[in-house]
Amino acid sequence: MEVSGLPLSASQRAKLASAGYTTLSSLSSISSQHLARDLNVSNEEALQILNVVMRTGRFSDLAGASIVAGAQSAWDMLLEEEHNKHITTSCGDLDKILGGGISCKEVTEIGGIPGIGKTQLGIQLAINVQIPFDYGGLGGKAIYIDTEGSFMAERVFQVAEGCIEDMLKLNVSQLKDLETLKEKMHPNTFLANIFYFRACSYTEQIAVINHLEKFVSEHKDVRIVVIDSVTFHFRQDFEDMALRTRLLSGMASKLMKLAKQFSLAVVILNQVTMKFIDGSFQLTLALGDSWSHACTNRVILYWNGNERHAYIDKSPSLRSQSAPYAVTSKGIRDVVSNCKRIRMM
Amino acid sequence: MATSNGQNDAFKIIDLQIMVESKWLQSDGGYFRPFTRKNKCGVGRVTMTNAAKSWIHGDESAKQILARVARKRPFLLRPPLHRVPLRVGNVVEIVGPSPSAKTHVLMQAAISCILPKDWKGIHYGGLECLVMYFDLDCRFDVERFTELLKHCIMDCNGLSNGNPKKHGILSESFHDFEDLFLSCMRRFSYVRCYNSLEFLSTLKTFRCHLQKENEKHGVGASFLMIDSISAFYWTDRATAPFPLGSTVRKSFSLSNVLETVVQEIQRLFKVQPMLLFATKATISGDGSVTSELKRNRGLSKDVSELKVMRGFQKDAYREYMPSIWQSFVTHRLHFQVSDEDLDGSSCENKSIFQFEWLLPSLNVFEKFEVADAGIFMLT
Amino acid sequence: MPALNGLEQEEVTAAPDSNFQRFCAAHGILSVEDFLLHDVYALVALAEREVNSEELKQGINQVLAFIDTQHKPWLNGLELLEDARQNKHLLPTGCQGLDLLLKGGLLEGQLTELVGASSCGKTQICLLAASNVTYKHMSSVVYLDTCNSFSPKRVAYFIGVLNPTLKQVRCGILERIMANILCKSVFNIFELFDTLDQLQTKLRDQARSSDHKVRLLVIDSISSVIAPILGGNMAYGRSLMISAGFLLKRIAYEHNLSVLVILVSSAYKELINKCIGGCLDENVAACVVTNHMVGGNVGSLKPALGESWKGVAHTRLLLSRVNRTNKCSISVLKHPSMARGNSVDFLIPEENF
Repeated sequence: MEVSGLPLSASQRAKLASAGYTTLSSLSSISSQHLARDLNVSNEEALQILNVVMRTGRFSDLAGASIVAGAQSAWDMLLEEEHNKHITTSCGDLDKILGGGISCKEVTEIGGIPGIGKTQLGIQLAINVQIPFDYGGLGGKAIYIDTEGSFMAERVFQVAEGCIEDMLKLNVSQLKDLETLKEKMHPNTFLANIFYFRACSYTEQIAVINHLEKFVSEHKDVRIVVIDSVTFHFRQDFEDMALRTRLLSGMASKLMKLAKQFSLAVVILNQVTMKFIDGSFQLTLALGDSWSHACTNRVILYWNGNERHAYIDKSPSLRSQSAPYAVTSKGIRDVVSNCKRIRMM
Repeated sequence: MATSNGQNDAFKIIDLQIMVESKWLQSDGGYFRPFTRKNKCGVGRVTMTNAAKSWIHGDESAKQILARVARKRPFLLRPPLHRVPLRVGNVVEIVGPSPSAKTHVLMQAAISCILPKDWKGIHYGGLECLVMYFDLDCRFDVERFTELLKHCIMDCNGLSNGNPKKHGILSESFHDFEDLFLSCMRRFSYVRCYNSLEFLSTLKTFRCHLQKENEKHGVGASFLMIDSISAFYWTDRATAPFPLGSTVRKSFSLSNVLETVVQEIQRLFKVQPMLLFATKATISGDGSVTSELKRNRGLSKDVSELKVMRGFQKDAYREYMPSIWQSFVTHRLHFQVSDEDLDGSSCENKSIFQFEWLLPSLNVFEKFEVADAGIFMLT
Repeated sequence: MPALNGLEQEEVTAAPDSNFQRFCAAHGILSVEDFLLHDVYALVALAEREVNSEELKQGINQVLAFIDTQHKPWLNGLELLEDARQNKHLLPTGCQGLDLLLKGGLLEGQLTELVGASSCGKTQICLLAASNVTYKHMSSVVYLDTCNSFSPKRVAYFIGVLNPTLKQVRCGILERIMANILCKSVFNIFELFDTLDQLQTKLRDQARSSDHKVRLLVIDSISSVIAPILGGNMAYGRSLMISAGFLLKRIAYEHNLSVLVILVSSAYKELINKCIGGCLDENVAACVVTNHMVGGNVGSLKPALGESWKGVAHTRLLLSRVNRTNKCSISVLKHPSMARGNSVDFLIPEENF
């Protein structure tokens, strides 16, 4: 029955079914008073129900365009993709395996053991998104949702300074702009362009994510959302596993929608845990499979000897490779070593 | 129930239909006359005077007896339905997880119904009757059905080459049997229903269709198949009944729908008794033998331990349909996936299932295999 | 199903008159559904007791005639076979191993499900199938994407793989081919219903002999729209899931499409642990792979959307990938005419940078 596929409340659906309205066509040409009488509800509620029905694709104005309204052809998407911006990570090797950096319109998950530099990467991206157009950046703002409390403003200041330094190095030729630049680009500006949310429980986290849509539509220049870390509140003492799966999947869908609708990059930082599988302890991403479809790309950070490496674990268009990176006082940078080669897997 | 001492042997457990039509004679001329009243059956004693008169008149001639018994003989169906005698008016429910060859069993039963008894001198052993197939799962694969039918025809003609389980060369020698094939396929009637409303609509107008088919083919329908009766279980359960105004109105809930279905089928059986097969999917657990054992014993990973425990399997079947359907069912068959190759040694493609009759409860587990040519028992 | 007094709008039959409606209302029948739940013979018996029994019985017949139009027609075996042979063809996916396993390709009119753990190549196979269908058969593909993983770059690459000479030819051909793949993002179950509904309406109105018939519908992945509503004690989530399944099967059957659905499964054994302490040891990798397969014949895979979804698809295929390579293995979990356990190995083509 088609009416059950409408986003209405349970009692409204039951009333519609009892009154004999099971198909959408039966609701197409009916007045709200008539409906109110049949369902024994108020006129406003009947009107609200009719609005929901009218908003479905069948009745909206599609002048025989494409088969499905709102669909794009693959060719258009290909052309659009060429103009897609990437947010650099300030590490050349990492950018290379990511195809230029973290791409907008996608949800990227970054996982790794504690201490590997996930938060550092998150902070670096939040800064790098603000690099102005002239320097090849996006000139946008960032949203940082912190669940663990690992966001330190002093560190962000340091990274912002490092970023400005690098930018100025590029611009060393045009000296006369240097002074104006130094004024415009003060680390405080960078800090001011990061919107920070602190979520102390899973309900707060879900509330923030629900609110993001409204927030981003008001602040059109937000280009990245960093969530650090998404699994923290869902790991300890969550009794009802079915509820957890539902909440996480709902959250994942909302983030996907946000990324696609506003052309943002959504970066999710995730922890890695030890699981007892088959008689031995193994490292796995926290939340495992219930979360595995929540991201478009997945990057795993790990230690290789004394070096930090990043590995592309899942991506529809990128190849599985790994690259080294380093965490310096200025932020994430390339590893300074003798042989700079991308390690092929 | 009226009884007298020493007559207890009269109350043997016998099929109700035969009881209804036969009478029990006693030495003094009186007899026990069985009666049925609202599904309860009993036996009451009739006195001597009218007993003598009615005894002299006789009940039926020898010809009538033969005709009745011949008609009422239980069907000889292929495995796994061969263990229990089935007659028209029975409702057989086949329960199992997905996938467990339930639709295959229905297809084989349908084939044995649409094949003729004899054709051009070859004995096919079919019933030459119509089959009415309600496809509620919407997953019927007609190509597989034709394949099974062709294999059956070839087998009966002794033309299957070598291993009867393997895919034989059908096309070459099949032209001779085209007519037979076409007439069989015409006896198979199929309808798809995508929701309960369509199902009920089909049932309400079913009798007309049945009449038309009877006239067209000149034979009656013997088998009614519903695949599967649990298809709309969740969608109907979610339509919460909401009384609007008068309480006379019946709400569109799961139990009301099933009640109507059962009522319609019962009405139908009074006019034209048929044998009803219904498949049902289990809704919890994955239905395999080892998973049930694991659940009962925690995470027992020792393979040999599991093999030992197989002898002590508990009945893992859980009923979830409303009672109106449960009481309508007269026979129940439970399928399970058999995890034969637990140690991973078998690399062949086996589809082995095990089944047991739950109603009547036979407490015997048997295995069968689904091959290209059909279902074969594994002893 | 409309209310009884609204039957004249259906233009199938004349409206039953008001006496009949009053009679029905007296017995609690206000809509056609109520009629379906009632015993027709009891109603006829009640009608005979009334004064105007003939008109009432005529009214009952009218409603029955209307009901007869509401269900799908009865077909006999031959008509079914004819329809299958004429309209339901095989769609090769372009992946040779998979086509071999499926004896030709995806079957139109059926719902095929691809199950696998995360990042095992399911999306790649979908993109490959979409590219192949548009390129080889000049038909349209509708791709419903729930996790932003549709990559036009990969589609262009696969088309290039299918026809290596295409790269030298003008872009115009590539444009025409790729213009036939329509991609839409859906993020919740209601959007999915809405989109499928629109698709159904459009397909019904579409001219029969159009060049670019829609032949393949891909949903990647259905678990992300269903997981948020599933669970708990409410039957609503499961009923929506089953309704979605029926809608897909209906679209597939009535419009002769093949529907390919992706499902992310939960395997008991996970393959994520590729980097234990940074050690990329081959032995470790080998162990992890074997662990996934042993005793991991289909019994050890948790059904991703529950037991109720297992019966929905016609064909279920399990995909798994050998760790850190592009070697994949597909095995059959369920097929209408093939035994379980058939499997095949193949390689997913990868670009060289």
